[in-house]
Amino acid sequence: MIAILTNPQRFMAFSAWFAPLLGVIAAVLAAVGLWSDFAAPPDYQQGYTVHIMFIHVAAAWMSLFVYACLGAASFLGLVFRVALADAAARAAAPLGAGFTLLALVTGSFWGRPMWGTWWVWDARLTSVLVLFLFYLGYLALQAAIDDEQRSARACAILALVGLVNLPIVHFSVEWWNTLHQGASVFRKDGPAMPPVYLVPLLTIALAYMAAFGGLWLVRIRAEVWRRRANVLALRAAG
Amino acid sequence: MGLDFAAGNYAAYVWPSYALTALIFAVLIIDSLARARRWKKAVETREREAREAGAAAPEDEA
Repeated sequence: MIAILTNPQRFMAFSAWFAPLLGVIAAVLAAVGLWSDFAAPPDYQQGYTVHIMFIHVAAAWMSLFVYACLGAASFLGLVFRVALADAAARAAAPLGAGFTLLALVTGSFWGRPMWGTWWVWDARLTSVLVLFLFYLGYLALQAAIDDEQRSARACAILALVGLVNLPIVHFSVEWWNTLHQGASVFRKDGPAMPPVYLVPLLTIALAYMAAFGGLWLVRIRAEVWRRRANVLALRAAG
Repeated sequence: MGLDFAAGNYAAYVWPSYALTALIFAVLIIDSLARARRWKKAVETREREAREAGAAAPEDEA
């Protein structure tokens, strides 16, 4: 990926066929995931709200993964001046904000019937809200600075600062007493849920991942064209 | 294995969650594709204008 990001022409050729392919993979995985989702029986404790868990947990994973991609792209752009790294970071931010919003709101829809409240200021929920604010801050900063290079540098620094929040989100349920339950999939002694729930969860997570990959590539392509259009406009004016 | 779309007493929480998921994905997909299409078109337009300006320049000089 880094080799592709260093060469815009190679990236455009690669993404022209890989983005649609990821879109098709995402659609197939989403169909399989939804089928296994609604084939699963209601959970003995959560009842039918287990359906919310599949789309909520996958969105929560993606909110962290996309921010890690944003941080990595920002690092490559800021430190190594990789050609398309800034474009990749800019392209990832709105997608990450979307996944984080999805995680927060579907979490509330699950929490109301299960916990009896829409929201509680526990460490997990609060740290995910902070993650969402980092995404919004990134987008606001990007929109606020006209100079492209200054904007990219400021946004990259903000993105790197925000990386500190990722382990806080992940370990919040271990470091503090939270209403939010602990990890039930990525555990040392294996997943704590039966395959009938694990399969739809992982399939929907893979569908989200493929959708993110496809949309990320499309948005980076748009960013490459935007820059090209601006260069042509400047050349015509000058 | 049959599909069960029942949500019982939790329908008011389950279906809005799925509707919101569909809405957010629709917004992200439409926005991404529209953005790509808009800037690709802008590049094509400006390249065409640059070519036309280049072709017209020798006549202007003459």
